[in-house]
Amino acid sequence: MSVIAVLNDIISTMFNKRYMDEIFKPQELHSKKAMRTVFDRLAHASIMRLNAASMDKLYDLMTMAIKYQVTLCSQPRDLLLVTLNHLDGIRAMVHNQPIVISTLDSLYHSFMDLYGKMQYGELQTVRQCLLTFFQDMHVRVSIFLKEGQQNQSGRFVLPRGGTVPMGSQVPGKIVLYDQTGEVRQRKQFHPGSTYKVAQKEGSLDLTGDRVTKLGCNMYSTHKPSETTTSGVESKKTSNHRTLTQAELSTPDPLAKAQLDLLSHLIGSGSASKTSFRINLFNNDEEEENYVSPVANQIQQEGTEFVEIDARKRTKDKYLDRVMGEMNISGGGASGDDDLLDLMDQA
Amino acid sequence: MFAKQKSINGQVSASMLHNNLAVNFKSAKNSLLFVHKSAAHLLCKADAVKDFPDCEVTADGHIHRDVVCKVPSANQQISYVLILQADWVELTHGNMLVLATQKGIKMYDELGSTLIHWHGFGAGGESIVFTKGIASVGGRTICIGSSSGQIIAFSVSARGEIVKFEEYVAGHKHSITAVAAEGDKLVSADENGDIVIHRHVDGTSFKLEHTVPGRGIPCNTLAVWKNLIVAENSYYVQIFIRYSNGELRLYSLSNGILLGVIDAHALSINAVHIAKDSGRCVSVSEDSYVRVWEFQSGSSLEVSHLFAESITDHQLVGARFLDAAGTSFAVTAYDSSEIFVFNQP
Repeated sequence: MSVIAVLNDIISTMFNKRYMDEIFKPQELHSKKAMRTVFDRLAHASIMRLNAASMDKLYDLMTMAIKYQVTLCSQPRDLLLVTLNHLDGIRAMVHNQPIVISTLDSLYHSFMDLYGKMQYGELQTVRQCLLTFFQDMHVRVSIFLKEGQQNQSGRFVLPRGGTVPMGSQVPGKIVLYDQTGEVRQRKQFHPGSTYKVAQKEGSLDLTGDRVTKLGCNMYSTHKPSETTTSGVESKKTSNHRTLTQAELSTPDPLAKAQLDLLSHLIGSGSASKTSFRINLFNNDEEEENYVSPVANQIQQEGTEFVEIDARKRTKDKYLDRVMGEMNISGGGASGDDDLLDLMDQA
Repeated sequence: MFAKQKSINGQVSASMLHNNLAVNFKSAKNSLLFVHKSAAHLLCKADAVKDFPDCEVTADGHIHRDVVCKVPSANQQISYVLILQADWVELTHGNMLVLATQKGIKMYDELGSTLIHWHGFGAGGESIVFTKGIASVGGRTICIGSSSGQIIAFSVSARGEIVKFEEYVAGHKHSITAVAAEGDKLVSADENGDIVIHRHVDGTSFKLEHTVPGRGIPCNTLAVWKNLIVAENSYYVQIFIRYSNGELRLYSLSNGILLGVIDAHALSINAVHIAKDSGRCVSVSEDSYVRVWEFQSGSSLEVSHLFAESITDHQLVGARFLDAAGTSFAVTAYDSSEIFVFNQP
């Protein structure tokens, strides 16, 4: 049950009413330092602890994931759908927690009251502002590289061709009119890539089909379906599908799914294992050598960090106990258990 | 048609903005600039070295300088202000560099070394939160679009040393996104896609001539071109262009009538520019494509698609021809310091 406690702690801290009221006030873009501080606090809102290097890595992962989503929005309205995908994902994690659900509901309404009412042009400015924040961050993320979504230079791979935004025409046509508005000439040209028209617009309702997969759990693609009932169907769904109701409906898969999500939130985990696995670094050496490009950049901007040397291994009885609680499958401290290592280092 | 040349290293990355590349045609130094966050990043040809003895010349023969926009904030600290557009404007005395920002308008000499005028917001009770769209009309007037929907007009003295605020030109109900001028015509577009044509009367006042209603989608970039081929009816045929979500629309500058629609790009178009002498038009989009069109204004407008190339994994934000004939052009991309150059061999 500690896992659910961790999730609830983080989610209720993140969506704390006072904090949300602040977030919805008109304000300048956060500095990188402020954003990092917020994220540190959020990550440490529960009993879970991350050492500095892991925190750096988690922060880089998070910023690059959001950068990816904002970058690939095909039109400004997609920003809303991406955010709703985030909220849908959180909702699926806490679906049996009525208090958290009601917090999410009111958050949805505040969000739609402000951003849902913005015109295309305003959302366009919001996106430009966000992309200014993410400008020059080129951390390479293993899942993006593996999925072919990022190239070795750290730039995201952009689709060439594909579906154009809702309401747009595919490139390739020129129509000329005379002074009375009659069509005078129609011409085609080859656009160079193959495009198709969008068929469906993403829903901005409390629940609904967002159409875009941006903002869905990007790790779910590695997760084989656990439920036999929806097995066939789930194979047909998109790679970026978030957890379905079916996967969450039975107690056992639920616990697994939540563990999985939490571990996925932090690093690339494997769903086939029942143990709590947070895999931030392959080995100690890699961790020692990890220098966060973003943290580095923040430091170059004249910020001093409180250095917490979390790389030295010290045993902590409290954490051992926490770990015992978190190990729901009773797998114990097997050599493969990366979370144990991680907590050990905290 | 066009071949990609060796890129110019811009040293810093271009921001995600519309029209994020400018070329100073008048200067023999053929300077380029693009916006990087709170700085206008200028590249001058190496022969400007006498103007900047402290600057180093890079291997590709450029001097790089940043014109940074910062203002004093409340607690005695300096705060950096995001620039939304930077461009050179052509005036009778020479060119000036204009920065349209979140907090005000900055006007410099063409090298960006001397600040000539600063127009901050809020002082006169203005409810402006940003400016966007830079143009000059009649050689003595600078026009800047604002978020309040007004165009802010400034007059410039004969030798360019004094800039004076003149008036707010009304006509838009939404935030202005782009401004362009040709002859005595001033064209402006806004976040609703509305386009307004003003005529600059006697070099002093603006008369609203036409309004083309939009469809709720912003028009972010404009180009106006006076076709020098004399049309059958013996007057200049003038057109201008706007985009909506990948579309280029062609209108008559004289009466605002729609002349053509081009389904040009898959995603939003961030910049268009027309080469004055040839009627070639370059457009760039977030879909990674740069396209070149050719307009011919005989008795009626003709449009053809001349060239397209995708710059892989780059969302393009700026494009300008490097000569009036349209035989070479440069392109910038979000989050990239590379300036892509294309030449007609």
